[in-house]
Amino acid sequence: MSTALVTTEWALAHLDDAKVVFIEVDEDTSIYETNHIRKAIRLDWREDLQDKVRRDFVNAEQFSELLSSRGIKNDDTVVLYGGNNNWFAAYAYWYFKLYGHQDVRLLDGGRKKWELDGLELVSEVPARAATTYVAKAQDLSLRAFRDEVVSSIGAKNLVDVRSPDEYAGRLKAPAHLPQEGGQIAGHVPTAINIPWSKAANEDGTFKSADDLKKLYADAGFDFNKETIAYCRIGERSAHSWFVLHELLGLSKVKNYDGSWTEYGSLVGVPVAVGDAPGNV
Amino acid sequence: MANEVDPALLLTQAIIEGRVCLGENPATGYARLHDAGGDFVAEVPLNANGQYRFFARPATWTVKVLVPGKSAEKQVVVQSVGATKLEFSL
Repeated sequence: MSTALVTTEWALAHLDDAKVVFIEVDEDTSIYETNHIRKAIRLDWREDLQDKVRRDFVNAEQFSELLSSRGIKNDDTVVLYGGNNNWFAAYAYWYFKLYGHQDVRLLDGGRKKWELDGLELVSEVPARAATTYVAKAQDLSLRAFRDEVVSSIGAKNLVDVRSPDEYAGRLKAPAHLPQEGGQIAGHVPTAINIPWSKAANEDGTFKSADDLKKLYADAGFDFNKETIAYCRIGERSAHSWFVLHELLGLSKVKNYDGSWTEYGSLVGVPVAVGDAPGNV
Repeated sequence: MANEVDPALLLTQAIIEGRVCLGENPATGYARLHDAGGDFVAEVPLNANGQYRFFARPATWTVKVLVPGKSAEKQVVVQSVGATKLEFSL
């Protein structure tokens, strides 16, 4: 198994390791308050990781201040987990990599497997002494922006990891969310649809590397091309980015965090609807 | 998940919702939505009352619930917008 991924057994053996910091990141940020893995702290993907004014991430200085205030050191092993099959934990994983954290890992199966296995969850919030964390500049080899997506149509692997109904334009959002949003529906022309969920087992763990390779190959993915993954806001595609970049070891894979909420609101860009990728 | 659906959503969206009980008590676990082809579409944790809710479209859907040590699934044909109830007793 990739060192980027740790098992529940590994986690249980390292809960009291002073150099390992467990961090829960959920779509529903209130879940942590109910309970969480012992000694785990929380990051709020919206309050902590997004700029308060612009649609963008906090900058390196702000990220440094955030991690310093949460008691995380540059040489700590950060283990991320969360609900929704690790969507937002994978997003945070990609975010930590973006800012150059050396040793970051994802708990396979996340919160769901932990719960279904009946493992201990507690409500006590751990106290961690402040540190002096220094983030690196963003590694933009991991992050795609809209202009690169437009210029990649018909050239790079564009992977739309949303559900088939969202890809085709029959839904505008995942089915556990109200179908709101002013943007149009559809997908980026020539993008292939490989739903993130096909990479996960029912308990939230990732499928084997061989199964993942076959999944992507069968969907028409070209392993020799550069890749941009996207979804609606970049969290499900972080899950797929993790599969491609961390589990399958592909080096030229970017996550487009603007994703469909940005692309589907742009004026003048090409859009495809229906179940087929569409043409250039 | 709110206990009541915004009435405006009932006029425009096909909502699949229900409660999962373990004996007399609300269950702790997850509800998963699959489309007519069996493909996974969405998942939500059950709330404190054992309830789940999906926003979908008129079609044939399967809801599968996972609780520690148990699972169950039911199919439902949603023919129009509005709320469709699908309850589970495990």
